[in-house]
Amino acid sequence: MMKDRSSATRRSVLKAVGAASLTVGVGGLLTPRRVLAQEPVTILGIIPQTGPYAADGELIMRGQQLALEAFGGEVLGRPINYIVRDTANDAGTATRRVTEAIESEGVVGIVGPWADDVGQAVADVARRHKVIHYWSGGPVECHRYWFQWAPPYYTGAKAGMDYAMEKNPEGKRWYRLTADYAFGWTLEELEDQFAEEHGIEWVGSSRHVLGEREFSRYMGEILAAQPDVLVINNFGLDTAQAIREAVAYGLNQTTQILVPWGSGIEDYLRLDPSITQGIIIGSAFYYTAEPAQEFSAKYIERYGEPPGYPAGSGYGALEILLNGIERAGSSDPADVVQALEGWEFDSVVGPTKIDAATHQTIRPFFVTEGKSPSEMENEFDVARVVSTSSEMPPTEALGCQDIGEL
Amino acid sequence: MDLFLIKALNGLTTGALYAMTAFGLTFILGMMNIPNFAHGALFALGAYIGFSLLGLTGSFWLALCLAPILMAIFGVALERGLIQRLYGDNPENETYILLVLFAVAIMMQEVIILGWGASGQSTLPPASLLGATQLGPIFFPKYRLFILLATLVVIAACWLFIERTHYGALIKAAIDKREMVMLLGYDIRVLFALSFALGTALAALAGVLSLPIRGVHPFIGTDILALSFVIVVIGGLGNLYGAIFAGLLIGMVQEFATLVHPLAPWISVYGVMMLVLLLRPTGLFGTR
Repeated sequence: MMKDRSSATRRSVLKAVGAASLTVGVGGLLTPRRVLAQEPVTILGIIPQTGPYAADGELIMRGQQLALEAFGGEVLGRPINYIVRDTANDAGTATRRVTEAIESEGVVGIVGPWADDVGQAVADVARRHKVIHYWSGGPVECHRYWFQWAPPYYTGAKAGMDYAMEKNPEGKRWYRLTADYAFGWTLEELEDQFAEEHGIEWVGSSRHVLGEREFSRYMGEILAAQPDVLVINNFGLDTAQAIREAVAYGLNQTTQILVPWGSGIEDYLRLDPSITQGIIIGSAFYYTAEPAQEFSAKYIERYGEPPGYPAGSGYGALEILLNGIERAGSSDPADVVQALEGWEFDSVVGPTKIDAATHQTIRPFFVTEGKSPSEMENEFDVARVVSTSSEMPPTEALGCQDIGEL
Repeated sequence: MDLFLIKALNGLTTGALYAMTAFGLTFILGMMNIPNFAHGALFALGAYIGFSLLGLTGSFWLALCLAPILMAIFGVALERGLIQRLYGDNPENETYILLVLFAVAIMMQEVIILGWGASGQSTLPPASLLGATQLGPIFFPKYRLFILLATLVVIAACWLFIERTHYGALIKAAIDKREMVMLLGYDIRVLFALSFALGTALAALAGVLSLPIRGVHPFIGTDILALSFVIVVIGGLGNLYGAIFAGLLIGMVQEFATLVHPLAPWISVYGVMMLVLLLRPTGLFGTR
């Protein structure tokens, strides 16, 4: 009887597949652990490398680079594969690039971006792909894989306003100059709440476009209102421009200038100390804080200037993420999430706790005040930390009612 | 009344800077008949060179005088070394010049970032111009008053050059009727180079003047470029002095527009341009 050739072929294929599977499985078990352990841990830095925040992106990357070096380029005995993608300050572009990086590079954790709207987009991608997202900035829709490094705007606004009132309890006529986008609106809402508590009267309010270059247009209204305090609700170059104009019109002689949420040392270095003396600027990072000394010293040595909020956030967020991986003993995002939740430790900004219910990083916010030129001990000694605050808003105010499942 | 006075002076000051920049653009656009997309970058580079000269010499006045001269030389080099190669023996050949100037603008911005970094910088006005001075019921920054005065002096000097010198007359004639000047046997390429030098120097001067009030950062050129074109269109092509009036007008309009809405200063610029073009397509003082 002739042999059934198709059956023979089928059996041969099945045998071959079975043998191959067995070989691979046994081979995997017998492969030395150190070979597996060499598989890199891939972390994605999603950073603005072009567009209006490119300057901040460069600073963020400096901080991240120093964090990698602090870990010796390894975590869990495995090399860290740190890859960078440019947000181009566009949510759509960032979404596409983060998705591509996760799918093609095996990213387990994301740090960045910078702008709030791009942050929301990246958070959404992280949720869909169940990848850790540790980001520095403002409010986004929370989920189990997302963590926020910077304090809530609540903490910053309250700390700055509390200090301004402490400095001049009688000065209750306040004016605010606000950037006309989500960041500015959020600060305004919070300031209204705290103003009521302090009995502050808003004698005027002006809004300006993001990227405004000519703040002299607003000085007439501000001068006419004769406020005790001028609150400047903007960030970065906008802050520098606004302060410069306010001082040029002599406002600093009669009015306390308060910047509730700034970029720390950079705000001071963009301007002359004769301009920034006496100005109150709040920041999520200030380089003279004791826990930041080692990082700041290395940064100054390498870059010739102290780190501000962007660099501090780059370092801080990546530091916590890598420490979380070490604590978890695993690079699996779900394991890292559980390792981070509720953890209390000391970080580059001081005593830190990650709140399990909201994934907010509870840590100090720094209120600084500009020194006069005669008080400065060196070119970077432009301000002092006058108060810190780790006060968190009521949980319901954080807008994170359900952190979700893994 | 106080508010009106401050806003009027602010508007004139801002307008003066716009006017000076747009005046420079008019020379180039009027002479060569091409929009100089590198004009904003020249403004920015002039400001940065002024910033560096200030750092080196410690003298704002030296920076104010030297930066435009250095930039004028750069402008001539750019015209002679690059643009002239594109039009060759035929000054009517404007093909590719537009694209090249656009490319130069991008390259210059990146060179600025490479050379000076991506973060902004700031300077103080010179000591003699620090602080504010009383003008009737208001206090106004001395430095802004200086900007008004400086712009007046520069425009007066330019007027003297154009109206009282041979080359000035040739430039004015060539802006009006280039072919006629060529037919009369004048080498139009010399006038091109001169116009480019003048336009670049004026942009750089405006850049240095704006240093103490706007600081400097790599994107200041982008901010001023679009405005300069709008101002030249409003003032009218073919009229050198139209840009000055239009610059002051736009400065005033933007200043008072903040009373309406934060976005109004930007919308109002294009609103004015639309209105002028609807009523007078050649611009307020244009002849073509």
